[in-house]
Amino acid sequence: MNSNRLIGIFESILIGAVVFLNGLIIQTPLPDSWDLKFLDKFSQAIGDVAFLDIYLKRNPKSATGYAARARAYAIDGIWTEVVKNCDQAIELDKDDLALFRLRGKALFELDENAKALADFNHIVDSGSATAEDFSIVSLIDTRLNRFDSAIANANKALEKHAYWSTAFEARALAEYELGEYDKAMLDAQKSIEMYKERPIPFVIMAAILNDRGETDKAISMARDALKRDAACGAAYWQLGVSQDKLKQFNDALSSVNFSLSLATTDEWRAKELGSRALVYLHLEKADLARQDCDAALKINPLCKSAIEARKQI
Amino acid sequence: MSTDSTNRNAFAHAPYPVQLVAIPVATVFGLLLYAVLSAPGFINYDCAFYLLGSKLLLDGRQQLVDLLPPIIFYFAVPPWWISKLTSLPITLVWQLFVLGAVYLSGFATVAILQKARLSGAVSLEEQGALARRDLFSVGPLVTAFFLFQLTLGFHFGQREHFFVLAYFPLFLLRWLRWHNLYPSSKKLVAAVLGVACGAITYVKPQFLLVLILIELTLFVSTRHQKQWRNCFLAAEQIALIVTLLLCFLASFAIPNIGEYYTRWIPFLTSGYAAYNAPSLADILSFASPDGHLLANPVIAIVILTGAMCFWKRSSLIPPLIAWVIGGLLVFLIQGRGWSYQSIPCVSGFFLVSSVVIYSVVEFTLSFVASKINTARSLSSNARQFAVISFLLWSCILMPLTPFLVKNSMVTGKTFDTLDRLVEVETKSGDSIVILHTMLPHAHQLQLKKDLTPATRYVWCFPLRMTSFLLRENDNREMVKRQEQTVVTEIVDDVQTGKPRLVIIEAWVTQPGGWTLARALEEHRFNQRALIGYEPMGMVDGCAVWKRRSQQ
Repeated sequence: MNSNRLIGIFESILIGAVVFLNGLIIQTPLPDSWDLKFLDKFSQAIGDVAFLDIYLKRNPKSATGYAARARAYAIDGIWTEVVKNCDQAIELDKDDLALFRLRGKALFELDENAKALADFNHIVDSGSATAEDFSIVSLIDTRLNRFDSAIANANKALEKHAYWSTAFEARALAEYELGEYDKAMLDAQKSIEMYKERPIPFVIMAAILNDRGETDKAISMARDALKRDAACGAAYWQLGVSQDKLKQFNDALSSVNFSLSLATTDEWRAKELGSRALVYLHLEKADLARQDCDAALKINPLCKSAIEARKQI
Repeated sequence: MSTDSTNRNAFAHAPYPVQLVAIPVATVFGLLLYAVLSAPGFINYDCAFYLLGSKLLLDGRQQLVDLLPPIIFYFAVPPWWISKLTSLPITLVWQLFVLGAVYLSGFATVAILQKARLSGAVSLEEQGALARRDLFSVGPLVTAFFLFQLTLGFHFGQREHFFVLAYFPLFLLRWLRWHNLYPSSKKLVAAVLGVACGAITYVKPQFLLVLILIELTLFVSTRHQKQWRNCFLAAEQIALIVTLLLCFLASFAIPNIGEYYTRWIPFLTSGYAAYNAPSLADILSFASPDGHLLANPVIAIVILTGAMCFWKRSSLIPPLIAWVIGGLLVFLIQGRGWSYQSIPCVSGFFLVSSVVIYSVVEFTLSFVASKINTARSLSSNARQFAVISFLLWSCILMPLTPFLVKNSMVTGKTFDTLDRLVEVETKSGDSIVILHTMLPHAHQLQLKKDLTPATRYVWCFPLRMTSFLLRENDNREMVKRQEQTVVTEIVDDVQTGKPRLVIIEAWVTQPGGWTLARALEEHRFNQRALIGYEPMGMVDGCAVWKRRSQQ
């Protein structure tokens, strides 16, 4: 082989090698870099997750990284990932109460109430619980049919912060379940005064008004709830209850079905199944009513609407 | 004769070292094949949409409703045939199909360069000749283009990706043509490139901006050579124009194409604004989290400004800057700042950067070489010069690349929304309806799980648009009729297709915000379409209904 050929082969190898290295480098991000962004928070959160995926591959023992990724997922409402990342962050840093708070909130959103309660109790026991923490504990208590405890925790929230909207909402919900309608109405109104954008206080008032037979006002309250959240299943539930009372049974069935499609927790699902059972009874579909009753009572043996339907079957 | 002019004459007759193109292209091809085979299940969500559309065509069903002419669904049919023949997953087949397009672009590039008069048969003193730096810039230019393909993983197979693949060899051809370095007798490859570029430009006509700007720049920068008539009437130009016309005429053979031209185009011109246009600052930050490609817009501006200093030193710089500007106009016209839309612009920028870096290397090396190499044979030095300058260019590019472009597979992310639900509730071959306006992962999900969309509105953008137009009080009666028609069509699709699941986007991003589930419910959708369905509740922000007979 002459020298020119050897030189040619050597050059080819060098060319291939440098291009290969360039190829690897162009696919590899800069370590620990981040970009200036002007994005909305949801898009920013997606970008944060993309960056943190790479960061955590390089730094698998970084509690801060897992915590940041959990917060990013929380902005976009991907609660299962929030829990996973919080689990890893807590394993690396058990003293960070913010992680327990974040995980507790995610578990609350996922309707895993016992686990959520455990996390919030950890915060309460540490003496660092905020008004929001006590408010969520109150809401969890209501889901678990512990209404007196729910009211007590809502009161603790209000001791921390006298104008905390969620605390009034949580207390109103527990009072409604206990049948203390006047108190529930008052607390729902206070919740709205503190912060107008949450739909559930309107739903509570709609439920009370429906129970009192004031269906027109109930419908108005339900529509006000929908102005705050067009996907509030509970608001459609109360709309359905009103329509049922007005003997608009097909519309009622449609509304309650829609509310069931939007249900995020067993708490609301049980109520909606119970109401649908009543609608089925009015449509003379006793079998379907019985099925819904059974399903509702299986979720919540104290479900008022299911108990009422059961009495009528 | 001066030393410099002796050098130039000798270089004018030096053969171009082909390995400076062939070896880098082959190396990058190997890296791309590895990248594709390492992630066989990955597919871009828009590509998943095309494949779902082509699947429906093959099943003899009505085509999907889309923003752009439905011709892309026909282009996406062959991967299904290949998948059926080979039993390979459609996602892998698609990735290999796109990889094949990359390889074809590479082969076409090498073929163009081989046929061109790059041996320098025309001396530098004659009209149309390239200066030495242009000649040897070809290797870095081609290498940079194919290296850039390694950043496009997240967008593999997007229309913009196909455009740059089809256009790059054509760009080289046009640059050579305008400098009288491409023989007019070599028509076949030129015509084929014209056809390929014409077809993909028809799919997204705004790409014409890039082509026109570059042609104008080439015309202006070489107008003294008085060969514009030959260039404008070259085989590739004629082929491109004829292809565009034929595609337009052929589109009338597409079933229901009249509906696209008469119903959707007028509607889309006013309704497109429904998808929140980010501010100009947001768009120009090039930082959308769906696989953004540009590393730093500030650095990009500095480099592009610096490139103007090389305007006269390199005949490649003017058309490449026109490429960047054309790509930027295409990006801005679409007004969404979505990362894949920046592919033409960012690819142009990376090419400009590479040529600028090479120009600096070439200048420095020439200066040094002219002091020490005058006694040696200039023909062999020309070849060595090309190789050495290429290697130096590559070494300098290495640390700079992360400041120029980013890997879209690293910067892009889609969440696995609805995956768990679909895994539990469906099996391969089931039909499903996922109605969404902002959940592109739904396309990937349906494709990967082998689910058949039971509705033509796989992407339910028209309802977001009608809601927007009604809020804007824009032509209310027409918009209301359009909305009613769309809902009725979805109802018909569900009643006919009887999907196992109906999943409807229901999340709200702000108090009082719009949601698709409610928009449908205002038309009594659940009473009309979902009689035989049981509501299951909200999963990942979507309302889920399941067909009762399946429970």
